[in-house]
Amino acid sequence: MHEMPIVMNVVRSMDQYAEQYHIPEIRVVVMELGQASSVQPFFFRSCWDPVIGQSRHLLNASLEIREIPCEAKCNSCGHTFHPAEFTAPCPNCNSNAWNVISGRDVRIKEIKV
Amino acid sequence: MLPPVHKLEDTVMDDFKVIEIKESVFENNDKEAEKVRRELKEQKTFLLNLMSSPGSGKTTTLMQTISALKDEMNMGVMEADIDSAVDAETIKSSGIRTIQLHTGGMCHLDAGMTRQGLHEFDTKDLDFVVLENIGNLVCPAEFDTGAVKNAMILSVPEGDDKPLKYPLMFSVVDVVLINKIDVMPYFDFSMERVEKNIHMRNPKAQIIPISAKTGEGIDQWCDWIREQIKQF
Repeated sequence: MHEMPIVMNVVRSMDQYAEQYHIPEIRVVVMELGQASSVQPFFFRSCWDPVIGQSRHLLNASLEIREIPCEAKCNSCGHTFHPAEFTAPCPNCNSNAWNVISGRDVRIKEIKV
Repeated sequence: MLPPVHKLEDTVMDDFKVIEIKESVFENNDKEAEKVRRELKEQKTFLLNLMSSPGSGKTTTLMQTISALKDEMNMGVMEADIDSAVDAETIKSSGIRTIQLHTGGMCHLDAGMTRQGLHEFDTKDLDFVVLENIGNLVCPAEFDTGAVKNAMILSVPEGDDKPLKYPLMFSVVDVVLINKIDVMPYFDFSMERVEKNIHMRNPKAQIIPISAKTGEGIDQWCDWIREQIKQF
C-alpha cells in the first residue's frame, strides 16, 4: 500500500517530536490530505491502527483527516479554479495548460495532547 | 468490512492542548533530497533518476547508454525493484558496477533510501550513476530521490495520451525519451500529439525519440547526458 510508508513516516516523526518535547501521550493527530496528492483517506486510515501500535507515544492517538481541495492555475489566462479531474479544461478559457498550485501536499497539521 | 474508525466524538473529551505542527510529509523528504544532492556535488557524482512504467525499455536503454559511455566515464547503476535481481544481473553483464535495492514492497524510492544505497554502493569514484527506479508512473513521481536530474521513458505502444493521464510524472522530469520509435508505423501514436501533451504540463521538458533496440537516437540522448555532467 502506498499509504503505509507515509503513515509510518508520520507516526515516527510524531514519536520523535513527543520524545524531544517530553510529551508522554499524543491523543489526536490532525492530518491535512491534499485531494491532488495520491494519498487516499480511506487507506491512510486503515494503516493507522497497525502503525500506532508500534509507537511509544501514540498508542492511543486517534486520527482526524481534513481533505484539502485541489486548486489549479491556468497558464493561459491566470484563472484559478478547482479542477474536477486532471483532464478538465480551464473553465474560463478552456485551455488544458494549467498547473496544480495547492492540494498536492500531505501535512501533519497539529496534534492534541 | 470497513476498518475501525476513530472518531473524535468517541474519544473521551478532556481539555486537549493543541500543538501546531504544520509538517509536510513531502517537505521532509525534500530536505533529505537536498542533502543528497549536496553530497553528490561534493564528490562530483552525477545521479540520474530514470523512471517509466514496466516494459517501456528502461533496462535496454540503459544497456545502450552504458555501451556508449562506459569508455569515457566511470559509471554505476542502482537498480530498484520490489523483488528479484533480474535487472541487476542484466546490467552486471555489461561489466559496470551495479547494486540491487529491494524496496520491501514499497512502490517508490525516497531520498532516505537513495542515500542509504549510495553509501553502501560507495560512489565516490563514479562520475555518472543511474538510479533505475521502480516501473510505476504514479508513486516515484511524488518522491524526490535526491537525484540531480530526472528522466523518464515513454514507449510508443503505451500511447501518446499518457502525459494527460499521469500529469505528475511528466511534470517532474527534465527529459522524456520516447522509446520504440521503430514500431511507430504499427501504432496510433503521434509524435506531435505527445509533444503537445507533455509540454502542456511541462513546457521545459526535453523530448528525445529513441529506439533502444536499433540504437536510433541514443547518440542524442548521450549528448544530453554529457551536457548535464559538464554543467554539473
